[in-house]
Amino acid sequence: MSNAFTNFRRLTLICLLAVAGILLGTARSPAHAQGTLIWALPAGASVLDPHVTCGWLSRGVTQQVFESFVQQDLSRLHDETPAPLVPRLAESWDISEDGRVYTFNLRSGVRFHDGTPFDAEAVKFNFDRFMDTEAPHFSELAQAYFMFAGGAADIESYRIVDAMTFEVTLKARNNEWIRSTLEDCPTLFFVSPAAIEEFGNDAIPLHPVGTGPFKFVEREEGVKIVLERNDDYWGRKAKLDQVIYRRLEEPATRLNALLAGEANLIQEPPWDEIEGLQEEGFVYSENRNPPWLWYLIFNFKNPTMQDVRVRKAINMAIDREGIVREITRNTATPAYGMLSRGTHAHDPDYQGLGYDPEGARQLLAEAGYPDGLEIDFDIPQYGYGELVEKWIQRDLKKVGITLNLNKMEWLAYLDKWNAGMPEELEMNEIGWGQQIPGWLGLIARCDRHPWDGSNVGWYCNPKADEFFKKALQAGDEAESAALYAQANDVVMGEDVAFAPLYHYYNPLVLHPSVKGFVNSTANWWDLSTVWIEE
Amino acid sequence: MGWFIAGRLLAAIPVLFGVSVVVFTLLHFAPGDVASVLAGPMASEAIKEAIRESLGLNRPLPVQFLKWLGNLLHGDFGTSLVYKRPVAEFIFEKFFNTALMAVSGALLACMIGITIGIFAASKAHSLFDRVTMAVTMVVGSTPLFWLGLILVLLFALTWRVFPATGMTSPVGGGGFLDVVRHLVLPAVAAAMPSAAIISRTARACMIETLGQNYIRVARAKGLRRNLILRKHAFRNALPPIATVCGLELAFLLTGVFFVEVVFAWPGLGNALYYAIIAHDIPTVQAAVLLIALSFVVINLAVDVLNAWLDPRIRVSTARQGGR
Repeated sequence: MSNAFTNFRRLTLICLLAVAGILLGTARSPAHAQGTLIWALPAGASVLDPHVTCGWLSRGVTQQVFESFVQQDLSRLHDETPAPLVPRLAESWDISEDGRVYTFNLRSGVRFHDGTPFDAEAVKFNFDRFMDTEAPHFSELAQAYFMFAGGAADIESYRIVDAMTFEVTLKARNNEWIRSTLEDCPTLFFVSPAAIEEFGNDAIPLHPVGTGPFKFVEREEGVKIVLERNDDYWGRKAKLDQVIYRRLEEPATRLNALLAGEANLIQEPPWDEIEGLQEEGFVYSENRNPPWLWYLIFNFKNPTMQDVRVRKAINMAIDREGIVREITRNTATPAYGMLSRGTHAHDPDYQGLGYDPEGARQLLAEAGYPDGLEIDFDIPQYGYGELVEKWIQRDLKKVGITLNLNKMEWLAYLDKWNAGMPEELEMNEIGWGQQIPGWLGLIARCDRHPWDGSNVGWYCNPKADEFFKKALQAGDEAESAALYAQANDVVMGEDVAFAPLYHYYNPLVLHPSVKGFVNSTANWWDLSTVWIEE
Repeated sequence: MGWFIAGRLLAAIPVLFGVSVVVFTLLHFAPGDVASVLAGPMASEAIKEAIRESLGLNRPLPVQFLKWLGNLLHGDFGTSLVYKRPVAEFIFEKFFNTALMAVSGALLACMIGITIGIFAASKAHSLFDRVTMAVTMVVGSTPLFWLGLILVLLFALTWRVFPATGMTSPVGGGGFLDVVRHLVLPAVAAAMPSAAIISRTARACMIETLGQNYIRVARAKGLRRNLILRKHAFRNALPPIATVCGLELAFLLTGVFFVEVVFAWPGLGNALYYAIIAHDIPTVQAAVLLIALSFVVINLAVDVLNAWLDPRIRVSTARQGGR
């Protein structure tokens, strides 16, 4: 007790010496280990079971571990969008004359990461998981996901033809069926049947076993996901030894990790920093044909919004050029139509409702609102969204619309969003899309009202539905693109059911040592082409 | 002393029970639906209903609470709804990571704060005293996350002495020295505002003690200044300083959540935040209970320390126990 002061002084000295020792005695670890890509994610990836998950971040991981019959060729840039399909676990596939029967000739000699063989039995096992309620490993959740947007609703039957041939019969021709199985919500990737049997439907996300160029090593919740090269891969082997996905939500932290050499690729860099990073030698990468867009949804159950003049006025009041220039710092481009740039149906010459505040004021006056009106707008707490929402609020104020922003935590927002807008709410928003233009039908068709779909603004026009239906059965892409253009003309030209805002380029910043990276037209990437140059 | 500790431990039980009731109730009335989170946006109402049934979420709230409490008493925190793993498997690790930073920060804060406080008090109203007190006021008012960013800018990005993010190096990390290297900047960031507060408290306590009659007597007897500071003043000023140090440690256990964000430190703060937005009720309950428990333990430890440092507290407690 009497030596408290002396002890305290000694303790301080010891600590100071320890700090000095750490500084002097440990060398700083190398910025980049050989062949390891450290990818900084802006949020956590969802569960790594491709059959029961949504989200582009988890899809980015499962893309490396799992494979499907076919795959978009993301290994190089293409002139056309979306990327063409290339064989994967099916060496080839035939489609019957009527477009209903798909026969997949499976690749022989492929093994899952656990050493079990890939064959028609394995494919059927995976189909049974979401189609056959009697199967021991049937998953209700998987069925729900596949019925929504995974292509299961189109399937009439499926069967094993022989050990390496599998056949799927659709109820009707759907030209986009095979691409719809490759979207993120869910994805028809083939999971090892042995792994599902061993771990069960609940625990399989912790043990993802596929056939892809990378194998799952570990997942430390909230910290990182580690993949390593699959040296037994049947095809062109990956160059990287490892891929480490780090979860770094805070934009400044992601930036610091890149600058300090603790990540060599960051997703969602702070927009204001991109130019400075390029000047420092970092490489900026963007996807100018993203398969999604950010848009506002009008509520057709709401009396105010039932007037097309109000919907038009809102579209005309928003200065989209200003948003992409001042807020997103040109990491996006204004959107006026609802067909995203990542689909074959996108029309770059489409002229929508441009910025015209004076015209918007006149329309509001004609609609009976010469002194303006007040509307409610549900918005989620998500990324940098608030900057855009405040901008819209300011733009609408200029034409006499008072916008009340109802901000909600993301999951609470999604809960409300999925149920469809209640009558008293005027509009809400979301960022979404797919590489198939049929996605517009998912959010605009009459039969897609909640709970049967995501047409949350209760829009319905049978004329548009007819175009959507025909487009899925069109003879070729040009014909289908023309039909989607007509559908877009109805949805946006006549009815103005939405207010598209911008196509976001999914910006990334890479350390200059990262080579071979291709920023594809999808929301996920093929990392088998990447290597680190020391 | 035994009665003293036993009494405090017994008093902690209703506190923890109260915390668990409040947390349980609040979470169940929060907006958003666990079943929707688990099932995803595509699931039908029937599937969500099945999930609610399987998790027992359809049962009356008191029944759910009692079941949870019963499991808790058997060491079962439940299964995380999001990670699909037993909560106990990862929550202690997250808590340990946070505690590591908080304890390191608190130790650092105590050493820096007490040192500055004593020197400032020994030269009260001098230029040194005024400057250090002004600086501590500024540092004490500085947000933790901002301090963290400045430290990263200087020590990780400019001078490249310490890492900027994480608890271990992403590649080949994980050793003791690796963790210590990653710990330095977050611990310093966490320590600075607390050190400022402790230094001001230490200064005030020391000045008060140095003005006591027995110190004057010691001076009159011709004792050396250092001896007076060390043996007579510091020892008597220590109990209130120890109390503040304990409070700062308790504050840091949750206060470092901001530092965790800046440094991507895999602690309880990050886990709790994402558990809340994902409505992962078992994880939130376990995290909040651990925090509450640590507050109780820290307060108990501070009381015991004070009783040990100051015989008057022991005597007073013994008398209370005797009655």
